[in-house]
Amino acid sequence: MLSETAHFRHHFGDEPLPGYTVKVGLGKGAFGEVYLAVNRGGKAVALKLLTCAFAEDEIAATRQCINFKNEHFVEIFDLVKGPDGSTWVLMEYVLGDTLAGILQSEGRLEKTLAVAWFRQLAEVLHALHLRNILHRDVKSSNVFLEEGKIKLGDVGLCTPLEPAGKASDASQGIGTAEYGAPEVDEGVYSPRTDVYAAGILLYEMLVGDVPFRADDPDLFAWERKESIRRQHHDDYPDLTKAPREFATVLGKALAKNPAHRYPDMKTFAQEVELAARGPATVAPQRAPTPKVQAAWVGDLASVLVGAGGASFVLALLASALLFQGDWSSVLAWWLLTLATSWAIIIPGRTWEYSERGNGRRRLVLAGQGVVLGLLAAWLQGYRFPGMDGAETAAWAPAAKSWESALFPLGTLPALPIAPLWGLPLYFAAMLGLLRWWVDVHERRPVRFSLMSWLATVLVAYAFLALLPVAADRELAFFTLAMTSFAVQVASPCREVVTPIVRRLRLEGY
Amino acid sequence: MGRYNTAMAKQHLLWIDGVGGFLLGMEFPLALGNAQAQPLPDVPLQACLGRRHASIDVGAEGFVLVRGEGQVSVSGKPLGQSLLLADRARIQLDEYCDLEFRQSVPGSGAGRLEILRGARLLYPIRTALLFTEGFTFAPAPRDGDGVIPGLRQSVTLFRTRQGLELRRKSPTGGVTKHPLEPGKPAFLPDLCVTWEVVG
Repeated sequence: MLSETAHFRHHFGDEPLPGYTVKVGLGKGAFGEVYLAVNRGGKAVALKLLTCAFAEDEIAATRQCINFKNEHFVEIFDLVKGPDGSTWVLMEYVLGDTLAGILQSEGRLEKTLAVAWFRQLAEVLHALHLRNILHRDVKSSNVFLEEGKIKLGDVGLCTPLEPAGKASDASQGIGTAEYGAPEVDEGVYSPRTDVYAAGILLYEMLVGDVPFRADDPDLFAWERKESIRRQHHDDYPDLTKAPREFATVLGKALAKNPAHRYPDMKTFAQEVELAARGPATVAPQRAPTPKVQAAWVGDLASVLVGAGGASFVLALLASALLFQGDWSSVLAWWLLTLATSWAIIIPGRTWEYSERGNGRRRLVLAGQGVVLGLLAAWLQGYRFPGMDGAETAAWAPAAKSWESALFPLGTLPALPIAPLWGLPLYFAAMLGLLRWWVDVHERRPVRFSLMSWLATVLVAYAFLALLPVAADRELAFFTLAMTSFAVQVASPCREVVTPIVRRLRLEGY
Repeated sequence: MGRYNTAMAKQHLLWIDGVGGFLLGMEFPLALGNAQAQPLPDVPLQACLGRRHASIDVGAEGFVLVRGEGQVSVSGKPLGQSLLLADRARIQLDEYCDLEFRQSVPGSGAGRLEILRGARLLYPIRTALLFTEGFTFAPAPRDGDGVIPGLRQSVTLFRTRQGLELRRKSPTGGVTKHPLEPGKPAFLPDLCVTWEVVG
């Protein structure tokens, strides 16, 4: 490390800007170099020399904050060109350690101190957000401590918020891997992105380390970064390491879905303070703000409409192949495929993604399957008692033209179970057993997975062949096959990038 | 070159690139006092303190805090006449000025005095290095009096009759010496150090 730090461009006594004399190089990074300098009057300032390829971005970010004032913010004095054409940012010099340095030497912080510092951090972040500025690089090495007060620095990634609540600069994956919310990899930034990073910082203060790391020394830097990013998407922080009373607030701040996080830093800080007073005083979680809720509902609605369109096209195709011109059948198949798709998409995209512990999710899906099975039976002519003057539920599904072709070896003989329950049993099993939430998850690598579709089709086929209850197997089989296709096609996935492109992006190009 | 607004008393600062600055305390007893006082105390603190609020001297067993003109307590207990300073001793000058004494090797002739809150030095510096002969910087705390993470090899700031020099063990077993000249950066392969004399 020091072999690099010994080679700052300027050293003691240099005057890179008229009137400012360098005392010492303080730090180097991808952005450039920071020096401690004194002016002619003896005032100490921090001079940041911008040397990176993205100096223009940093200049724009600095301009956003040049007139921002807050007692917990490292003040920016000026943005100037040196005699040699180099660009310099003149900033307040903070005489103190970084939070990262303190955590490195002290380990975790005492609870009351962590909460007090977090309150100050939340105050400055909230003030930035109120001025439509996102910080986007909240981390312990950008938090300085002077005289017991924290100061947030490094505005190089700041960007203005658009009125819609999204960042105007939607660069993908910028910021520090350990602190970046999952959505930053898609270039989605909002105040909730800073809430997530502040949540990581609170975790770090309380636990002594960030929740997601990749310490394998054999990994290349870009592999390390990618590993950490993957953990942000797929893993959950170990909240048992933090004091118990903070588990709820940390869990909410670090939710994968931004809509499930605190809407702003003020609310987050209030809940942290309540949590610090004891578990009994933790306020109930609040619903998302209307603006975020609207965006979230809008996204979900577009997926549902997409599923509707896809299932309609599939129903038309199936109709052309199986029963030409029978519009009532087309409508019935479409309705059933649409309902099944929605039953999968709604919990799949609103429920927090998890690799393990999906028992409740499976149970809910199976319950929906029972309802879908009853709907299928009704669409196939079953009349429940009281409907259309029917007094009994006597009904037997009609044999269909494709059924014998589908199951040339036949099926298991039917047990003495009312045929009404064949379809509910089938749909409940299919929805409860298969991992549908993976097919609609926004972070899956490809939009349509042929393997996943084939697996669904095979399981459905095997189940129907072994189902010992009379049922409309043709409808059941094709509905599931179409549903598997429709939900995948309708649900957006993360952008597919080649390994080379990914590596270049991770390296900052 | 930028100048500090100080009196003419000579004070010694050390600047290490990538690390920061230090006030050097090499003459004992070392007076801690108000930065407005004339002559300037050895550790000039911008706080409501006495001219010679307290001082640090060197005894047979290590550094000793000696009471001066002002109220002093150490780790919460009022200071009597003097007290041997232990690692992490919290020195409180009056009510608001908190300092911490750090020493890696108990009883050694080197230690650090860090300003925690309530005062500032006259310079943009937070730590004073106290040493009678030498102060060793090492990559790990157990190997030296001060830590510089990432340092390839320990290096000692040594006081000589001519001034200051950096000493480091050479691969052949001898010692490589790098004399420091005030105001001129000294470059080692992994370190750039400047000694500044103020006043």
